[in-house]
Amino acid sequence: MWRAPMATISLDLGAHLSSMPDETTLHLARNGDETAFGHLVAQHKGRVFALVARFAREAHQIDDLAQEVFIRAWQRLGQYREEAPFEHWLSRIAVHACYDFLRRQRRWSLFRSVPIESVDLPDTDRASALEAREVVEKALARLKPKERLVLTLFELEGHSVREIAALTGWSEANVKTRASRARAELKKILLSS
Amino acid sequence: MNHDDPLAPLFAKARDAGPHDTASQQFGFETRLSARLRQREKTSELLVLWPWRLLPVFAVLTLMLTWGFWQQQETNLDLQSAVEEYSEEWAYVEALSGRYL
Repeated sequence: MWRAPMATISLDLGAHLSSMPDETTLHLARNGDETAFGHLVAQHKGRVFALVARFAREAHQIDDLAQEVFIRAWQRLGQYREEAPFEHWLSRIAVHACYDFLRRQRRWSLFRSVPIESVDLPDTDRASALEAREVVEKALARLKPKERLVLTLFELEGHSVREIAALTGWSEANVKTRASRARAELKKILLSS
Repeated sequence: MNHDDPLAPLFAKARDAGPHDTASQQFGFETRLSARLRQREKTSELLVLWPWRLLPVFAVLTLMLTWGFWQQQETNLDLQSAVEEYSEEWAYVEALSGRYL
């Protein structure tokens, strides 16, 4: 069984790899080449950070979550079959890591009193894009993990139902049901305030 | 996307803002990731080594339990013989004093 040689990992970016195509880098990384994996990290970290920042707010949480994604990727590189592009495979890992993070946060919030932030629906015509994003994210934070995940991927990340189904491993019907339930809940949160 | 949805314009505007700027957080990420991977490796090595390190403790514990069990058996036998002896003595006293009848 393939095992990641973690003890010797060194994520230096080899200059010789910068011009290599993704497949070669991938092949090297799958064979335990740490420099090649470092190159993959540098290539894809922007996308991973952008996704995890949708769910985690604190800087240390974002960093931890991004690290978690790449640690999982490093440990599972041997399972990557190159049937889908590496980016899609990594996105699936990132989405699952984010979902686990949301569930942990939810469980943790049950044991401490987290003040519920009030969310006011802004005047969409006047509000800036950043204000609108802030309001949406605050409202999304009050949803259940599954609902928040599906709506974030659908409304903010702009994925289709089919893509979300592939990313989460849920059926398309399930994604649609959860999205519609989440939207109704979000409406309740935003319109009741 | 449902355009009759009153939240649709809000989502559209939120999408315009794009993702959060994480450029500063990405700085030095590879170094931190590398350190964490090394730390995890060390922890997993420790977990593998712990049962072997505890082997002498298990051995001593087994010896102590065996000795304790043996001692318990001895005590039980002593107690049993003492009870039996006392019962016999009691029976004699009862018989001789006539209370037995």
